[in-house]
Amino acid sequence: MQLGKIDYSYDEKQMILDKAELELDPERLNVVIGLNGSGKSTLFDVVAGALPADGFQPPFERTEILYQLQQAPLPPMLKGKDLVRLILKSDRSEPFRSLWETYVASLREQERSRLERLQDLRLGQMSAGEKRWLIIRTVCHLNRTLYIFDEPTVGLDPESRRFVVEAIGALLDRQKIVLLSTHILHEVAHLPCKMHFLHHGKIVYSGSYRAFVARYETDNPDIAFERFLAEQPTA
Amino acid sequence: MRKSYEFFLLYNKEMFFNKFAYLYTLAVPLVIVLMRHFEWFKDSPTWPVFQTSMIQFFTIMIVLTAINGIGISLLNQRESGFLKMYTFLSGQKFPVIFGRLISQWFFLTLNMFAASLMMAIVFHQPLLKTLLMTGLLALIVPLPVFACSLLIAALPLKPETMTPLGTILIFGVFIFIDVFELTDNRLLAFFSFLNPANLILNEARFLTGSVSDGMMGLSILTGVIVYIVVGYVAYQRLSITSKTNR
Repeated sequence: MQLGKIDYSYDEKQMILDKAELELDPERLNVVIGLNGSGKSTLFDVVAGALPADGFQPPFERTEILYQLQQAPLPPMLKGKDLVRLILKSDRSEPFRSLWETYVASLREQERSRLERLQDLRLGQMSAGEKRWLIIRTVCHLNRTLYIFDEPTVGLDPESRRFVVEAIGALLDRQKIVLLSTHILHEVAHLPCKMHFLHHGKIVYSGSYRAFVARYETDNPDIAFERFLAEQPTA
Repeated sequence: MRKSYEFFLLYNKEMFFNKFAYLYTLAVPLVIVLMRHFEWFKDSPTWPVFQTSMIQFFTIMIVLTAINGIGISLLNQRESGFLKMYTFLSGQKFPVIFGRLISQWFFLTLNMFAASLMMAIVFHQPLLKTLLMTGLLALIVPLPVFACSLLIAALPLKPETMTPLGTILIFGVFIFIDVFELTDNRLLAFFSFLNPANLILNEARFLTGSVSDGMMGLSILTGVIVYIVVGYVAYQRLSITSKTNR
């Protein structure tokens, strides 16, 4: 799915996105990588339609897009179960009890025991990782066409990270299009993914994870990342 | 509406948890009215005097709720990313904003009933009449000003700037009440709707039959239309992304 060329600037002095061409692969995870401040969140804002960019039309209606932000500003007094209710009821009209049962049934055994602990805990009492796991695990249960996750695994422990990555990966089985960003390149090594390297406002690499690391004869994606950057012309 | 109801529940939980904001809207106007009418503890007021004071009291509550509870709160939500996150959860910004509006309306109504009940008992006023007046006013009067308060949320300002501006705005609104109240100039009286407090006062007086002047009716109608149009335009222009943070 070709999204066209995307231009975006906050202050009309410096282009954050400069004819960035993003082609989404509906059968693989689309992983956007790049340095901090390279414009990944801006790119997601534009693709989701939160920021209007000249000449660019979001690929889907807002009702078809689930966009999970990097920082989730949540009311600290809300309990885990309240948050799950808010998320699940945003898509469906069935009674919450039946939505809850279906949701719980979709979780793994370890996830269920975690949910049991978090459901009556206020968000203000949860760790950042627990909140992130709960939100992402729940939004994956919604039914949208395009899912955008801005650094979904930041601050998660290895077990939570695995649960979250698997839940996001499972969206592909439901024929959903997934776009996400990450700085932890190892976590997508075993998933079908298409990497999009965003640098100086442009997508300078699009291709598979394996092809990306193989270019530099290494198994370590961080080394490949550094070497790739070193090859890029300075702005 | 189902989605708006979910946000209504969320905001209510937040409001119950943050009792200070709730009490602030009730206590500040109550203290002002009691201080201004301390003599009522000795001699109970007549119904028209009581009604006039209650309308003034409700006016303060509505203005405080519109500026703080809706305008500045939504601006804070926009800047913190809450509005963006929940818009993409529900697929539209309408439920997130409308949920806030009806939640504030609900709490204002509760506050208005609590205050009028208390005042009617303390100052020996007809209970049923007081409650009917309160119900009628709570149901209709706040809506145009609530809609217009979306203008605050649409301003390209950061919360640190808007909070003191909100306080200045509240002072300004109440200071300018008398400019319109005491004027003999018919044209100035017509444009009294430009001050939200005057619009609320006039609406309330019109609904309770205290004023039935045709020109005042036209002023109120114009005010209601202007406020709703401003609210609609502000809603359309209200960005879900922060104006100050990337």
